[in-house]
Amino acid sequence: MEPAARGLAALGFAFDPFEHLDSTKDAHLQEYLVIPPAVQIALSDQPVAVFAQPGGGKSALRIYAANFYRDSRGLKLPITYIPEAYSDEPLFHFQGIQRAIACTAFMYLTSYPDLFFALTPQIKRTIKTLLLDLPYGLDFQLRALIESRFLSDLEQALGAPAFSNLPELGGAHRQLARELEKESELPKSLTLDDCFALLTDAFGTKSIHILIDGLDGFIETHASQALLAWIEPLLNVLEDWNRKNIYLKFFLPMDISDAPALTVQGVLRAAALTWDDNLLAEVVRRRVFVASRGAFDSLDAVSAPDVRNVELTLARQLGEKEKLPRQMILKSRELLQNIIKSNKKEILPEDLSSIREPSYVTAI
Amino acid sequence: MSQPYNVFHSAEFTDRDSEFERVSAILKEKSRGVLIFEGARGSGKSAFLLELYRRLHEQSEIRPFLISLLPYFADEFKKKENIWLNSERAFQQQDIPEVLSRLARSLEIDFIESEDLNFQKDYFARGLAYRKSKTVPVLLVDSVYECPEEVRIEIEKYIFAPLLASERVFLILSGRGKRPIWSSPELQMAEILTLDPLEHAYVKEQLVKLKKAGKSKRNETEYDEIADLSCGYPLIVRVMAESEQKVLADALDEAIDIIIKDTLPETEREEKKYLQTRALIEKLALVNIPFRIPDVEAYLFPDDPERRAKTNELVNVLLASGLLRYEGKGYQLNPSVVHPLRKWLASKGQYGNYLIQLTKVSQDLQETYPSAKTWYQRMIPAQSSPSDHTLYSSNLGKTQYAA
Repeated sequence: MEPAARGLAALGFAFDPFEHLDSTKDAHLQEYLVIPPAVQIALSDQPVAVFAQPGGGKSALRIYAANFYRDSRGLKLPITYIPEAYSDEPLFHFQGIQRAIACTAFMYLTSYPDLFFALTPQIKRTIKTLLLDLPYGLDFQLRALIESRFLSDLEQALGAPAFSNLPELGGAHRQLARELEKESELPKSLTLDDCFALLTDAFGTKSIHILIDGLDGFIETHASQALLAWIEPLLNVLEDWNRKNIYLKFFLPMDISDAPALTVQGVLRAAALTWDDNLLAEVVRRRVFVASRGAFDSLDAVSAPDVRNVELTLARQLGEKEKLPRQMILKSRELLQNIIKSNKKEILPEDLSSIREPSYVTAI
Repeated sequence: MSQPYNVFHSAEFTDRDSEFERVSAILKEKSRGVLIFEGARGSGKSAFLLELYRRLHEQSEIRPFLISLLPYFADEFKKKENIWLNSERAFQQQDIPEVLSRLARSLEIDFIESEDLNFQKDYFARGLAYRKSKTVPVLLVDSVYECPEEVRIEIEKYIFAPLLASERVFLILSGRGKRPIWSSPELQMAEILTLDPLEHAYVKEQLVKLKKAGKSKRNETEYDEIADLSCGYPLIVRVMAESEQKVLADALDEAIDIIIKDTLPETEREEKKYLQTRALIEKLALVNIPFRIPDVEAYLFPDDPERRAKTNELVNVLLASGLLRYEGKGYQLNPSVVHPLRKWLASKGQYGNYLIQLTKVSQDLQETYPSAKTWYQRMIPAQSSPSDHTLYSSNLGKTQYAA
């Protein structure tokens, strides 16, 4: 066992609760993410804009929302759309969303392969047509389906999560690949409306939640007005899609929270991911609880008895502009690492005063 | 075979009116929700859920389904389909497909047939999410905190999560000890209610019912004392009432053994090992503050160079058994162990010995951590605690022969 892991184990942790600053890589996110009450609307049936600073928890909330909807097994279908490039083509985002739908539909079928066999020939053909839009092409993905052993292999290749918990791919998957290969496509390409209708017809989906993230990087190189102009085509369809139970959920930088283009959207509910000391303390407590497998829920448990409210103390040490989960996690990580490095058995009062210096964090 | 006290008879059920009213109000006022009843070992959680299931069964618009994760016996539900109850063994992972199959029948779920059992499990789960029937499913699951983590994770993944996708659904769970780590937000934010011990009058009512059923060996003159010694925990009341022991302190001892022993892992139940563990639990029962491991290691294992490791090990065993949990500022032993044990220790004359040892440890801690002086002063229970009980002592405290 590595010295760091041994040190963590000696303190009662099964894993390092402060290891990941990037929520996309964090396997325990669902178990310990703290969602401030104001942004719980991100999980509701309506279009939503969530604003936050870099490091404020937007991507974590987006992943959490996707996992939350995933649990409904397709009844409430999450589609994650992260623009990977920039284009001022008016249809750019809609094409991106259509590709994201193709990825989601493919993962849905591999999650429930037998579902495909019971579909009508017309729906099967429509599915085949949609899947032609998959990244690297359908042929490539079908080969991956045949050669993969686990759903997770496909998840990684497509960047879309599976909907079931099948431990291994089986004969039904190979049959699905063969049938999709044989299936003929429709004579014309699908519109986005066709795609939405397909999700309802084929999978019984009742609502679609399109989670739009990854726009922080854009604003670092362009003015905020340019970002608004870029997403304007999506804002224009908000109301129409809302009526069809298709909900756009934007995860946006705080800088544009008061932009008129957003505030005039009557149907769009907006919320800011803001953090106070108590919420930030809760971020650490939840991680401690999960990493200790429920044995304790505060760093107080591994502190000297005259050290109380470790989490709140750490949160209060953050400057006004640093009151963000990422900063809090960094600070807690540093505290634990210091304890482990110095072979201490518990957190002492002086350990808390020695990490007051803030550190600089950039967006991930 | 099930333990004789893990048995439900609705005719012997007592009280819990306010909890039933709370459940009724939630079912009427809300369209969905998760309620968790927490309670100490022996506080009557299983019996409460079974009685609740029986009552919900009488309502036509509600479709209750009960899963008992630990062995329990309820003869009156033997012919019911929408229940999973095993008197011989605890629920296991491989039982999930069968439970899902019964749930599917009970909740009128459409699902896709598959020969692969793993596939079938997932199709059932999908069917749960897409349920069309108008009746309101109420899933009751007993001992959800105490079951092995891998079983609970599977239950959440295959049963709770898809069921929670429905517009109208209620989960009513019960558990003891440390809270599990949930993934679903609704489970993380569940409404938690505590099942407190019975009041004095209800303990007497329970004793009258047990007498009527021909199970109690106690006479009416002992009822007040049983109510006092049992601290109102229905399981202790039941064991004391049914015990062959003539002396009430010995009947209480028997009940405490049941409360503790049953929850411990198999490896800890061997007689010699158990007596050592019980001796340590007796000592912990006197610690009056939520404690940290360094606070009690010198008290539990004086002069032992490996006391930190041994205290860690004990804490882990007690956490796994659900007899201990982290509460606020430290670990706390289950009150259904603490209070009866204090009374029993007093009856055996052992209470004072432990108090002397604990006082010494408390003073040492006050010196080591002067800024936490007041906190460690509270480590010692109030002097008046249980010593006013007059009980007849027939043998030495278990701690003495366990040492």
